[in-house]
Amino acid sequence: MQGNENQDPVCFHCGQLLPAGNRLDVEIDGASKPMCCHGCKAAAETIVACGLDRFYRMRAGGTPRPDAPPGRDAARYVAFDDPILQRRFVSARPDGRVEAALLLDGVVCAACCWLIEHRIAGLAGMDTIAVNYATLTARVRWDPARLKFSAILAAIAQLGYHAAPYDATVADRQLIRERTAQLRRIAMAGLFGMQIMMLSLGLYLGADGGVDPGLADLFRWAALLLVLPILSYSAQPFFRGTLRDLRVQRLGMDVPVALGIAIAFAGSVHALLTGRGDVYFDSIAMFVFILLCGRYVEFTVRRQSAAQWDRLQRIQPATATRIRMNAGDAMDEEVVPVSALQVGDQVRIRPGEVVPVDGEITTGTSSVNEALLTGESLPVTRGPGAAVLGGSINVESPLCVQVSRISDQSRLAQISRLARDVETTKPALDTLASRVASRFIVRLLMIAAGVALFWWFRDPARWVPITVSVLVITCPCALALAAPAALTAATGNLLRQGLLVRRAHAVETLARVTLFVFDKTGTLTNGELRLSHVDAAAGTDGDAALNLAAALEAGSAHPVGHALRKAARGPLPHAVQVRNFTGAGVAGSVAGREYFLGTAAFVQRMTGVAPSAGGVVDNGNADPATRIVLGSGAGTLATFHLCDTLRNGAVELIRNLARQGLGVRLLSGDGHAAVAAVAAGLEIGHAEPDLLPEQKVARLQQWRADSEVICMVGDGVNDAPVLAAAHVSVAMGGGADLARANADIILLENWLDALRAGIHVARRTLDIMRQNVTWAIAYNIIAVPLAAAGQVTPWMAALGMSLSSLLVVLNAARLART
Amino acid sequence: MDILFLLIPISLAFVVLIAVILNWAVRSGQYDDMEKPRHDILLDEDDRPPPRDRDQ
Repeated sequence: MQGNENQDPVCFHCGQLLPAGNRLDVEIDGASKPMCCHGCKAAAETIVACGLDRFYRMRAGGTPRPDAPPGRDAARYVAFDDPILQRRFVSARPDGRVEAALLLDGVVCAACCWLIEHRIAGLAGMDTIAVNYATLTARVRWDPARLKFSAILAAIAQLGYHAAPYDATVADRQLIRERTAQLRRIAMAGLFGMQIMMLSLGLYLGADGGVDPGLADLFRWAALLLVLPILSYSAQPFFRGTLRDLRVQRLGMDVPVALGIAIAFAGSVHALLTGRGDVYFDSIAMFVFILLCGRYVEFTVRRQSAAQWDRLQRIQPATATRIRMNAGDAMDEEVVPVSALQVGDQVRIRPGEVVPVDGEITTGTSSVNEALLTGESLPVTRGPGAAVLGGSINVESPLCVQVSRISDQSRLAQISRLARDVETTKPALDTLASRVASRFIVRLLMIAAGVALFWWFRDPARWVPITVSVLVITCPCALALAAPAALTAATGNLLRQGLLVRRAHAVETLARVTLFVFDKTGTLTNGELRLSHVDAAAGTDGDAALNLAAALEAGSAHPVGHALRKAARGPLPHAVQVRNFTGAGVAGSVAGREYFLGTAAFVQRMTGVAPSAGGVVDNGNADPATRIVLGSGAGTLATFHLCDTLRNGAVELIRNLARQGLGVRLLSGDGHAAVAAVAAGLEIGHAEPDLLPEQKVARLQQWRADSEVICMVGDGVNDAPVLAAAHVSVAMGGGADLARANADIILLENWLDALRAGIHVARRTLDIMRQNVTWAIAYNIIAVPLAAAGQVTPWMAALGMSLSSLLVVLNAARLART
Repeated sequence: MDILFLLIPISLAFVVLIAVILNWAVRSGQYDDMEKPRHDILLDEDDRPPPRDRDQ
């Protein structure tokens, strides 16, 4: 490279390091820019050819690396032209055009959206494309006679992004409809409510008779007209909720709300018609608006977890390459939808592809990354006859697999189902507020009925305003807001600390946790290998040996190669004739000398000399994947010890939890030695190795029976049922999608110490919720007798209720500040 | 003050109009993506016409 560039040369398109050797260049903006691979080169050439090279000036952040040159993509997407498969996500329009939604992967900035929109809009037969940056989806409409669906997907893939048809389920569509409806209800309540407030202000200011009676009537009638849309549209959920509650004969928060609205409205209309008494349209508008806002916050949290599920479904590819034997032993490949695969079908899986279904390898040997399914972070080697699981990734070489289970019955599907089962059987954790509130509602209604009856006999003209006063002043607003307001503020605070709360109960439960249970790999440890030390044989320089090893692994995607390359310093020698022995090691020549790098057994077999570098004898109990030997014809040169490293903040977190007197335990699926080492390093007394997910669930249930409140911290799909079995679960943000979807709390930065701050915030939240509930109840204890005695006019009642709610919200807002 | 007898009905009509417009805006997806449109104005160059006009 040129002298003025001190940094390593990187690919202009994807920003990754350029491989040594063959250079690829593309001319962009009149200058030749280096490309790391044919995929990037093709993507860059497409962008330039379409006149979209401004993208490189506008983009922010790295561009994804296309996995393959474009030729292959077209074939990969052909299956999406299948009309039966298309029925799931393509909808026809009356004008003969068709429409589909796409989920986009790799979009990192607005320029990416711009690039996709302009490239796709340029395809012949394309009507419109609108990329939504907020949801990372695209809506496309095209003429099926002139353009194939596969061509659209291939064109996006050519740019280096990945597009999958968005197969929206009925539930998804309902969710989106529901969200829009809620927003409209809030907007309507706010809009009309503001007008009513304005008119009410006039009435309140002129309450002493300073207003012309005709004008006051006009104000009241206008307010009545304005409150009608609120009642008939915005307040609908409360009335429907009440009907639902009454049908199953129980009392929810909706009942007093609906009753209060109904009586206030009926009373106001009566007052308006008879010309006696006050109108309370402003009160109705206000608590409908406030309560709807609270509901929307809750709904948004629910929707987020649903969106996560949706993205998870994409672990499984939609298509697979099926191979068939023709007459004359020729192999015939066709791309088919995964759902069309039958047991016994032969499927070809290329390196880098996701295994579509569970099956058995018929030909080929490769390493397979099953991290998503088993939590095992290292790829495992699988040869003919071995089973592979749907959802795992083929790392090295092509495989032929015979399908043994169709996709609905795959292990991935089973794990998902197990997680959902545990989820549904999870005991309902009544929050403090709702327990108190439901008891409160019964009493409130009884008091209101008693007050109404009393005044009916005592002074029939006053029973409506007084009953409404009681219902308005005791409006469960403050009580209803007590918990959600505190939780919303706490959720915002936690988000800033790097904790994303997915379920409302999580904060409250986290504050009461007595026992923390951790998973090991990927949770307490980083789940990636690092070189811990080198044992060099006598007369060998450790650093030189490391450089040799890194050179041999220069082209490897295996974690071992990655760890060695990262540890190596200085210029690497150049290795030639590198041969891969899957699952064993590599061999290659450096400076004319032959070297072998791999497991002890592999090096021994290749060199014929037993490895005993630096006096280290193979004691047999270390994991062979983490002990790598470098040998040559002269014998063993060095042994590299690789280990998984503790995650940042793990030590501080565990020590802090222990100091607070909380239980800390470790449950792992890994071997005894590895678990014991981590437990010792973190001073965890109770650690259990070699556990299956089912056994972990059993442990948790056993501890639950001992009335411990359990927080499970984990990572990986195999943890999902375990996470769901705990009272509250925490997952690493960098972990697998499924674990994410099932955890109550997600650590966004994978920084364990954030959990410590999270526990502190959670405890404060619980305190503030208790204060809020206490206040709401104390307020009612004072206000109800006053209202029942007829000492409170409705405007005082409305003011009291508002101030009470305001106090609760302000108290909760203290949580958001720190 | 008599003017209020005219102005308040007019304001009611305006509120209904606003409600209708807001309803249309939510229904037609104007609030779906709050992020990208503000970048679009910077990304689209004026010297080259956009590839194709939108329907609306």
